[in-house]
Order: sequence, then structure tokens, then C-alpha cells
Amino acid sequence: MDLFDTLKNNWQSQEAPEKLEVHELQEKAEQESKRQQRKLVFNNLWLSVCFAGVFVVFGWIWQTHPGRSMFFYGGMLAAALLMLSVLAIQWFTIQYKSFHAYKSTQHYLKSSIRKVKVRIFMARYGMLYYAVLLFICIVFYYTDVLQEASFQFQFWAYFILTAYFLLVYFFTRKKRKRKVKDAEDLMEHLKEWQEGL
Amino acid sequence: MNTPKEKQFQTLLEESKGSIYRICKSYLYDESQQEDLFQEIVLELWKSMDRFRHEAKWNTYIYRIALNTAIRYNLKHKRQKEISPQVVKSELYATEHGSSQVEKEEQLAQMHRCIQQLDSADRLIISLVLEDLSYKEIAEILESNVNHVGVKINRIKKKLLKLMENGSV
Repeated sequence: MDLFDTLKNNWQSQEAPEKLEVHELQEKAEQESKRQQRKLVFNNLWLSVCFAGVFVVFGWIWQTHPGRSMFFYGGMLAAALLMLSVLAIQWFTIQYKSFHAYKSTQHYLKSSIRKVKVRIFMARYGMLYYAVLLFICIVFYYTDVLQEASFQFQFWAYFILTAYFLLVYFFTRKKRKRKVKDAEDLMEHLKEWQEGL
Repeated sequence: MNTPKEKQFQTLLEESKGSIYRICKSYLYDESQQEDLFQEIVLELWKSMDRFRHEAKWNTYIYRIALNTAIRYNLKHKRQKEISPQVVKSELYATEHGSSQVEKEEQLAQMHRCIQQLDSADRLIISLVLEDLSYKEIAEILESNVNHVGVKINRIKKKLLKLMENGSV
């Protein structure tokens, strides 16, 4: 018997500690699995309820303001579509987060790398695209709503809107950079794993 | 009263808990982290029970889940406690003399310390080899080529034996 076989025998002689009682482990796993499922359902529901509230408000404004210009309806419709896309992405992301441990290790690594790529793209450009599109929607809406307002009022309305978007973009810059950096580190680890296996 | 799923799970876990425990031990040095990882693997096994298709063996299925969960654990807890090469070397010299049972235990402890010196991926692969899985089974778990896996295993074995002898590669 060579040294490696001796090591292997020694290795296999290690038993799991007595405290790891199978019945308890199974119950714990079952409870944790239920808790995770409840959390997932709750997240989905919460997100949908929040968005439903916004859509109800949109519908109400649409109904109570008949005969407005195409800017008014166009702006609202575009904002609603934009929010619907965000909702769809959020739903997709929640499902996307699920971990399929039973698949092959290479498959797991490949799918994780794909997810991280999407995460990097979203952190880099997602917020920017969303902010620009939402800004355009609101400008459309303003064009109709403010058409009879004074020049000074219009100036301040557009100024505040633009300043708000710029400030939000500026103050979330660090957070976005950190997210990209974290995701890039993760990607590096995953690639190391892929090469290592 | 246990459901058939619960009973089947308990039987499987009883049979494989030793292997899962040893994979955790080979992969992580810190005992509390080993326990955490063990719990996570058990949870993932429970969640994946219904997905099992009988064309694969349970054994392979369990190891695959254990490996993927260990990788995910590594990504979540990037700062896992690493053991330095100096610790391995100094402890190697300290454990060179002793009675047979003590020697066996010391050899095992030394082996754990040496395994911790390997790369993360190598640690997982060697844990499968130590569990006596064939190259074909390991290749199936990793979805890799048998020859490629064979070459890799030989390299890791050599590295581990060298570490056991010298405390460094």
C-alpha cells in the first residue's frame, strides 16, 4: 500500500460528528426551504402590489384628463411601458436568482458567469438608460401640462426636474461603481474556478 | 409521521453524511464554517430531491450538489480563513514523533493542513479522490473529460504528497 492509499484510508475513517442527527437536519432543511419559498413569494407579491398602485394612479390621471395632447398620453404611456419593463426584469431577476445545485459544476459556473455579466451591464448602464428614458417621458408630460404656464414657471419646473435626475445620478455613482467592482471580482473568482476545474 | 420523501431523504443523508462532512473538512479549515457549509449542502440536497432523475447515480448527484454549494459558499464568503504555509511547516516538524494512534491522528491533521494549502478547485477535486470516486465519476460530476481529470488528479496528488513530506511544494 503506497502513502496515498494510507492517506485515503485515514481520510475515510473520519466519521461525521454524532451531533449531526439526520432527523433534525432534515427538519431544519425543510423549514429553511419553506422560509426561502415564502420570502420569494412575498418579494414577488410586494413588487407587484407597489407597481399596481402606480398603474392605478396612471389610469386615474388618464381617465380624469380627457382631450389632452399627444404629449400627455404619449408621456404617460411610455412611462407605463418603461415601468412594465422594469417589473418584468425584476420578476425575471427573482426567478433568475434561484440556485440549481443539482446541475453539473461546469454548467453551474457557466450560468453564474452569465448572471454576473448581466449584473455588470445593469450596474453600468441599466440605471442610466432607465433615468434617461424616464426623464424623456416626464418631459413629454410636462410639455402638455405646462403649456399654459408662464415662462418662469416652466423654467423652474424643467430646472428642478433636470437637477433632481442629475443629483440622483451623481449620488448613486459610488454605489454603482462598488456594485461593478464587486461583480467584476466575482467574475474573476468564477473564471478562476472554471480554469481550476 | 414521516412522508416518503422525508424517509428517503433521511436514509440518503445517513449514508452520505460522512462524505459530505469530509468534503466540508477538506474545503474549509475553520470548524464553524465547515458546519455552515454542511447545513447549506443539506438544504440544497433537500431542495433538489424532487429533481433527481434516475439516469444518474445518487452518489454522483449528491457530490455534484455538495461541490456546487461549496463553490457558491466560497463566492459568498470570499474571506474564508486561509492557513499559512509557515503553520504547515512548523506543525509538520512538531508532529514527526509519536505513538501509532496519535501518529495516525496527527497524520490526518497534517493532511488537513496540507489540503488547505492547495487551490480551492484542487481541494474539491482531491476530496472526491479521497472519497474513492473513479475518474469517470469525477469527470461526470464536473462535466469534464476523463483524461483531463486524470491528468489533473495526478498533479494534485503529487502536490499533496510533496506537501506532506516537506511542508511546501
